[in-house]
Amino acid sequence: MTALLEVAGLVKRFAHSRSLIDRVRGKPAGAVQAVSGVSLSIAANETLGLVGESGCGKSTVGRCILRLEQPDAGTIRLGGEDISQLAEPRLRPLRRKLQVVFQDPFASLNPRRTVGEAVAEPLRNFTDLRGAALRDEVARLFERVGLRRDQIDRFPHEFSGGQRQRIGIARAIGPRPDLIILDEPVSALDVSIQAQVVNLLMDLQDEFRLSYLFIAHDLAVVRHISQRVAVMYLGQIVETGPRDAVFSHPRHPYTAALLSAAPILDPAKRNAAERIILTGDLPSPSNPPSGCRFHTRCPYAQAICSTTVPPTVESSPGHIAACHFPL
Amino acid sequence: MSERQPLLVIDSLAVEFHGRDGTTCAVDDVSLTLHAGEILALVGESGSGKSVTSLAALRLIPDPPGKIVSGTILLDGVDLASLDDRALRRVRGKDMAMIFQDPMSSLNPVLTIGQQIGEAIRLHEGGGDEAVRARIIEVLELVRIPQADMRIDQYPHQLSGGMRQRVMIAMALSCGPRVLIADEPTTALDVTIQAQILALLRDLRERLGMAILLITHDLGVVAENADRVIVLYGGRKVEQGPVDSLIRNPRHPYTRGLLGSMPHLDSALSGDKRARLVEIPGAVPSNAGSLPGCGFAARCELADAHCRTHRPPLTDVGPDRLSACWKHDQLPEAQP
Amino acid sequence: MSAGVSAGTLQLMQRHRGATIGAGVLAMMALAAIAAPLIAPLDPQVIAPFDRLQDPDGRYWFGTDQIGRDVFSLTVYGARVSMTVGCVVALISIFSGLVLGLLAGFISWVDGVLMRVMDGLMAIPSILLAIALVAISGPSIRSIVIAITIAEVPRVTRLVRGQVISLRGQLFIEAATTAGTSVPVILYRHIVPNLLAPLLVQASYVFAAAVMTEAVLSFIGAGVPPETPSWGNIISEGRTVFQLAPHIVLFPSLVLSVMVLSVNILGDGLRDAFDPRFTGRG
Repeated sequence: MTALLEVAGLVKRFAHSRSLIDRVRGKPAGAVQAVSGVSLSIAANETLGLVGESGCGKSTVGRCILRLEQPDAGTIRLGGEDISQLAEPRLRPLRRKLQVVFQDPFASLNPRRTVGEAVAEPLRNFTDLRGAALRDEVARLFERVGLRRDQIDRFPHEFSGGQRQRIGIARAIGPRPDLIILDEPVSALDVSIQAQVVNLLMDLQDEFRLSYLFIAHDLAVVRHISQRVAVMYLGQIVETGPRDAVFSHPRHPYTAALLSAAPILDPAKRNAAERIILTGDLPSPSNPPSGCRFHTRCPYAQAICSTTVPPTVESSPGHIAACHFPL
Repeated sequence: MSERQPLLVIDSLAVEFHGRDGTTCAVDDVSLTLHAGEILALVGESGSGKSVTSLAALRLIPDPPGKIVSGTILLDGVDLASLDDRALRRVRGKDMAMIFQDPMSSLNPVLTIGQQIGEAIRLHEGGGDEAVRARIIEVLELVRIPQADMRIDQYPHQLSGGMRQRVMIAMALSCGPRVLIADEPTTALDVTIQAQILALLRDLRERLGMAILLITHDLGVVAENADRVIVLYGGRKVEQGPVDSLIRNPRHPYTRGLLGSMPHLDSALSGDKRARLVEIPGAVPSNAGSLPGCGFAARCELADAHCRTHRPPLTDVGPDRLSACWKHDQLPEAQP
Repeated sequence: MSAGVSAGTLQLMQRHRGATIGAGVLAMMALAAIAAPLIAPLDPQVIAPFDRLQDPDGRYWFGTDQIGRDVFSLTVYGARVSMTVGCVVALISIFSGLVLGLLAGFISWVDGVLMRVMDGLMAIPSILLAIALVAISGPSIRSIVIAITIAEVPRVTRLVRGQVISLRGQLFIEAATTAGTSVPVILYRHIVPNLLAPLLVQASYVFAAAVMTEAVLSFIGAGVPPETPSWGNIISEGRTVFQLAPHIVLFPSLVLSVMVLSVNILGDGLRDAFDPRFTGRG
């Protein structure tokens, strides 16, 4: 069965701008290695959580899939078709299947247009709905996400953060996509509102049989909503697997460190001795370490880790880790 | 528990903001006591008044539009409201210091780390260049910044987020204050860095006996780092108590809702089917501070007409436990 | 469509007194200019040598000039020239700047070429540029308008280009792309409406600059022909008899200052009115 989304070997670099002198001298521009060979897949009606800390490249992966950035290498297959190098006119009709919910609900809405118009936009592009029928559909979408019909003609600044995010979700589900990329959809919201939005997302997924690529840094939320999880570090995926397996038995030292760093509410479940505190800082993405990129901070690193890129080891079906000495 | 003297005592603080659309009450009758060697957490979401309370403690509220309407702030017995600007400046940094959420915007990008830390030292302690430099290195090592003598001449943009936060802590500690106010110190940081910074704060508390007022919205951070907790909602105090007791057995519907709505890493995974998170319906009303009754009534499933018209007082609900709720005894005993 | 021009105009006017006053004064001047034949008590071309160099009195409100023309009537008719030049220059330069700025903001090679040309034009002081162009095509309102427009377009282009570039990176533009909207539609639906506010503000400044430049050109004799009354002309002729009859220079100068001042106040007021801090509150 072909997966809904299949990404293979995705690479994206952002070149540093050079000063005029360096350009004349012919000095090559350094580049931020934002994404260095990422492969993942998402099946129908499934949520893949993509976690990692700032600078790991997870947002860039999402943006490449959406073709908001042009990948430098790799393939992105949506329903079997490679969209990574597709020209915009051919890509546009395919966008119907691939929608997005951004992190900043305010910035993603045009402040000078009503929220109804914002939600109607994809419907205008992908359906024949116009006039009263279009307005009706928008109203129905509003109610589905927990807002009221009479709010259609208001402007973004009249809503709270949680409400704006609901509007963004209404816009995304309007054209009935197959896959929605959610880039930190709840990070900017208060905790009590987060719960409302997470519940809404789960309900919508069941109702419309959606797939989600849930990009976030909050492990607890990802654990709650995902069926499978992928962990990124410095532009690469270090571990992928079913949610339960990755969270209960992480195989990569970075995943283990990430999990142990998250605060635990119940004192009885806390085990201070197990906490792995990573030393050092994140290396610069412009100059990633050789071999295994994590070796500079890994408590278990050995000589081979700095010279050789680690192989991908499958410890149980679907659970893989890129490590010389998986846990 | 040893006798700990109260260092910071805030009594019945009220802060108002005068805007174009009227006056909002940002903080309404909030009291707290911070003892030496203690970490007290102020928890709340946006609009709870937690940041305003801390800014008021240091008299940093811009006036206009804000104004401390009533209440006293006693630092080691001295009423801060009675001090003039010069005396207040001596207090800030020397006796009480503050660190903020975003270290990048709190540090001056065109001055080196050494210059910025040195500024506070020169102001409060004086001393020649040699002495000041030595003190700067001492305080950088205190916050565990490696290669301090090299870092001292670096600029903020050359450091990572975690390092910058350490530098901010170093700046705050440079004159040996006894009270540290940390306003969302780790919210903007990755979880691995957050763990490092919080471990550092706990370490400082152990070694120096500092009192720390930790302001955050993250109950997980509170659970692992604080000794006592105060929960704020709409500018009012709704619950208070020792951290383990409060988290295991919350006695206010808001606290209960907050704990339920967070996904926990350590909760049991319900197999294939994903459980729904407990929701608190609605959102924080903008005028919560000026409502006649309980500010949370509109979103509370236990609320009745009495709750909406009569403001619940803070009542004793256990040893060192306070709750502002008419229905607190109707809350079931929580399961862990 | 725009949140800034919604209900509560009265409230808006109260809050932005500057803009209201500026607009009011300008409207009065525009009306006076249009209705010049009705307002001006005397035909400005009428020469009354016996009444020359009279001080302002009941009959000649602003006095008379060396050949007995009523300065008040001259000033009122002069407003026509100023307002015409101001409006036409503002309209054409805003429109041209919008088109050029959009092209520059979206197509990078056009940007490179166009901006160098604009930089070149901006390097030449607008007065000198206008003088040179008028010298080529001879003095007339048309050549003045063309000359001043050419001098003003680069500034507008730069403004639009800057706004377009910053808008292109905005999240809601990316959201429109993922929603399947094509580039031309994004331009007209999302980008242009967000340009209208700064363009309107810029239009007011261009208007003021055009009026000033025309007055200066006419003053030095490189503007409208001397038969056509223009504030610059009047002031220029009054220069020689300033000691005897200062009113010839004073009154048109005063009126010119008031017009430019009100346009600037209007522009500042508009800028404040469109500032998100004011429109942000529902």
